[in-house]
Amino acid sequence: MSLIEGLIEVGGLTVRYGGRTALDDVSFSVPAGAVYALLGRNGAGKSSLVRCLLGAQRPAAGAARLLGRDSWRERAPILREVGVVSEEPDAPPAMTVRQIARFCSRLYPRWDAAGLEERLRRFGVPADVPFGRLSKGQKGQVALALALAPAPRLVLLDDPTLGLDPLARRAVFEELIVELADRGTTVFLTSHDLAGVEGIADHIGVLREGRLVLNEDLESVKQRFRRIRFSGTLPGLEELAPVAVASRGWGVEAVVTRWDEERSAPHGVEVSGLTLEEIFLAVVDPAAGGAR
Amino acid sequence: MTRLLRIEPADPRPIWRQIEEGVQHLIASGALTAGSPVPSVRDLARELQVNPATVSKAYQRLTEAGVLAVRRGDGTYVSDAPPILTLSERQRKLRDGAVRFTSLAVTLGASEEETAEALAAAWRGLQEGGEE
Amino acid sequence: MRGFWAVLWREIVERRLLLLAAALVGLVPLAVPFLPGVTGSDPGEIRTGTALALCLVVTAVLALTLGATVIAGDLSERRLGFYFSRPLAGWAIWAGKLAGAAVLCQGAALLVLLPAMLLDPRIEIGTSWWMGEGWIRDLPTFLTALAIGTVIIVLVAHVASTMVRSRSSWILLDLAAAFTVAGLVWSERQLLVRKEAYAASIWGLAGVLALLGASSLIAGGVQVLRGRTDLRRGHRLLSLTFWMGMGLAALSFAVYAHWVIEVTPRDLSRIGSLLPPPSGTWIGLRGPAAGRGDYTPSFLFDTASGRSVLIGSSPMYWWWLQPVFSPDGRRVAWLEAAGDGVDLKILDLTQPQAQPVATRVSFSSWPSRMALAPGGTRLAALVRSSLTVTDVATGRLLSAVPFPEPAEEFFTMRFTPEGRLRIDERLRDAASLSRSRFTALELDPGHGRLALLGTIERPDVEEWVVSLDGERVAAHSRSLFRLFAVRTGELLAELPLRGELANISFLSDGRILLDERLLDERLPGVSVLHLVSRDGVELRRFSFQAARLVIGGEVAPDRLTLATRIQDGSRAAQGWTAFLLDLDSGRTTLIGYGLVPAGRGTGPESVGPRLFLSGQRKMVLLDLATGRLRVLLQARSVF
Repeated sequence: MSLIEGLIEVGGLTVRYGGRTALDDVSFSVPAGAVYALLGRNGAGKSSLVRCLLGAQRPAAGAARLLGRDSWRERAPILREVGVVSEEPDAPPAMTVRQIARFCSRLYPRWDAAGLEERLRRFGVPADVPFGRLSKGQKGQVALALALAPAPRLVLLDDPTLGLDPLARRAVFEELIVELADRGTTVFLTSHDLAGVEGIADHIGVLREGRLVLNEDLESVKQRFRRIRFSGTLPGLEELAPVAVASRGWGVEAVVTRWDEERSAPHGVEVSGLTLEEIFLAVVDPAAGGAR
Repeated sequence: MTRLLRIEPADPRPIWRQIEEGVQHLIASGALTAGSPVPSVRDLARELQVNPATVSKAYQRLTEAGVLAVRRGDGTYVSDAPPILTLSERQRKLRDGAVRFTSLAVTLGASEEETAEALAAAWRGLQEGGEE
Repeated sequence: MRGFWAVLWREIVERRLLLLAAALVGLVPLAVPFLPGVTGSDPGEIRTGTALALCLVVTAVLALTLGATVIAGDLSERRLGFYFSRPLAGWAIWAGKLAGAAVLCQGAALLVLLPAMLLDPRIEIGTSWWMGEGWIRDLPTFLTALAIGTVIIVLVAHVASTMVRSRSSWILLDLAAAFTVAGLVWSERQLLVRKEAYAASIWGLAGVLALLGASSLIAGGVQVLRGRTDLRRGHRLLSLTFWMGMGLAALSFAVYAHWVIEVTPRDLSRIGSLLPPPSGTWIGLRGPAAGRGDYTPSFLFDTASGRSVLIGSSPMYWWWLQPVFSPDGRRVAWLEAAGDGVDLKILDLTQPQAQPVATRVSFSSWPSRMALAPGGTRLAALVRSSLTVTDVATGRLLSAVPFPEPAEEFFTMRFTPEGRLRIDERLRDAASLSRSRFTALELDPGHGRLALLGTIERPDVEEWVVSLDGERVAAHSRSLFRLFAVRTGELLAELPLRGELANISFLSDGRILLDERLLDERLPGVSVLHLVSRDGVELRRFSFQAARLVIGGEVAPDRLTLATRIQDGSRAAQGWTAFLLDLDSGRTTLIGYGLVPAGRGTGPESVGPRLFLSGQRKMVLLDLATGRLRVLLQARSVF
């Protein structure tokens, strides 16, 4: 546990819409320079959490702090150091990319206009076309370029690859990777593209029905999750904390969450690792996640 | 080199370890010769679609182990001389690797002969500079 | 501040096509004079008038649409997040978008006016009805009023748009609140209008409008700052703030309206008219109320106790109509507007603490003349060409006689002590304006018949003055006094004068006073008061060095109040001297300077003769025993 406040500090965050609880006592911390990926099914509460981080939603309880300040009360000063990519591209459709850039450049203390041009050129996005007429992929790329232009200390991305084709998705992640390499910017993102996330995230959190059921660095998650296959019974299975146990014709298949790397596999047990996607499925829906 | 290095998502080993061991494998098999340049952290991260911090961690470990050498202003290269390990360190590492390998073999239900044959084949493969 | 300017500029640039459209609309007035069917006045005036009208229409429409979309549109289409995920302060977003809308509206207004202004550099507003005569004076005022109006429209459109677009059931509460507030404001406005306090009603509504703008501004700010991208929550916050503000506005208006209406004579800024009673200490009083615009309340005021009763006011142009005292001074009655008619109320002056009592007598429109019978038993009224007599206690119509509305003449109506209605008419012959006719009529309510008592016609009579008992009438010509018997028409007496006959008045015992003005170039001005007997014989005369003389009333038998003024000219209080004249001895006693008798033509039973006015701002009462003057009423200056 770090004694230094993380770039993002969320404590006891609770959000309610009328009778429905969207977030229930969520707490986590994102240290500087980290890449934190928040995962969850649709409706699990990811967008509510992002809105709280952006100061657009007032929590019913708890607080979200960015860069050491309360995100609801000090929204505008915080955002001077934060680049934001929203889930839906929401720039005014009549403005061209250049006009949006000019508008934004007046709001931030730093603005890397040359870098922005470079990125747009790399993406192949025309700068003088109204935003509304760009393709979905181009809109996402423009949003990312705009978010990175103020050289922010933190970048918040809410499902930046939603609805993008594989090439566009890759372009977004590549751009993030380049940004991480050059500046070590802290990144917080939510995504359904688990394969893409797997490469760049070093911390993950999983939301299920408003609760944070997993909040850990990716490496140790991958270390302790295993898929095992055996026939008959396996004594000591309970110690491994299985989450999905399924009987197959040939034996038993289980996803265990407390695998110890040091220990060798018991005789007759086949062990294999899990991709992030498989881990995610096991966590949010053990019944479905267990089966391959 | 990037064509030769692959990250397996389902591999339980952490990505940085996969990169570390992958680079070591490439050097051992002769695909990367002593003194040849390796891609920058940024480029490799881009190619593999992984967090540059992860690549950086792998490179750092390799540099500390003497496998890679950083030349200021120039980039990162495979070091000219292979790292010198003490006899005891080499023996310990060999033993660790052997234990892992034989455990795997036993789990798969292989016999000692099969296991020894697989080992020999892998050795030959490395010698010939091919891919696994 | 940078964020504010960035948002403001952005709003304008994004909608620059509207400005182009406005410029095109501005060309329309140039073409209008050439349209077929447009004839008449000066083409410049047509252009200007069209430009102004178009300007109003365009600006109003623009203000409505911009107000409805500038924030609420973005919110409901989830585009406000774009602003909220940038380092833009909430107030900068709200103020920037608002200011953008306001600037666009004003810019469009100017563009619409511009071509007409270039052709006719002096746009004259307020020169004809077509161009806002009476309420807009010049172009800068017009543009300022337009600017304020558009801001208010934009704000209110935003509030309404938010309420509708959030699609929550909260709007039902909004509608309920809207009806309540509007109802309250309307009823208070109606209260003011009923009392003819038109200026106050406009100021009050202006205040409500200003608070409407302020409430909308603050409510929108709260919505954007605290509701942020949450449409529903923003609506709730907006509603709560807005209706708090509007509730305050409505309550303030109600308080203001009641402050305006509930006045006492001490709130008058001027004593406009004063009605002395035939007997007793109560008087009728009317005047503008200080600081309340054109509100002119009427009162009954007891000069003895200082107690006052606020009574209904007759329409402005009939200020002499009410209240009406009964001849014995025991009752006083007046009409109050109610619904679409007027109701009669009556006050018993013999009871010290009596309150006004509603009667069953009512009319569908204002009568033009009224009279109250002794004891307040009956009311005579001339309403809609019908002379009616109504029983006050039961409201029953006792008689109604067709009677043409008097026009071009002076007409008095009063009840005799026996309860009959006496009518004295003076008619000027339309054909030959010099002939003047006096007619005395009597109505007996029991029989319902109008009887002619007598009629006299003479040339060159300027005024007919009837004696208190109604049997004799004096004809007032320029230098001639004549006395006639009413019933027979017999000439009883005739008195030619050297100078000009200024005034004729009857004393309570039947003697007559004639006020003669001798305006000789050699003399500064002499007034002679002739005391004449019942039969028209001159008894004695009193001379005064005065160009003007005003006779008050008899404070006691043979003791008269009057006031003189050495020079004619302005009507200022200075210059008048009031004193008591003893008709027996001819001796005068000074009462005071700057005073004019207020209660003219009343006898000793009434407080009238002892009342004096100093200008129109002070009313004093003479104490006969001590000879001292007591200030009854001092008008207020407007704070």
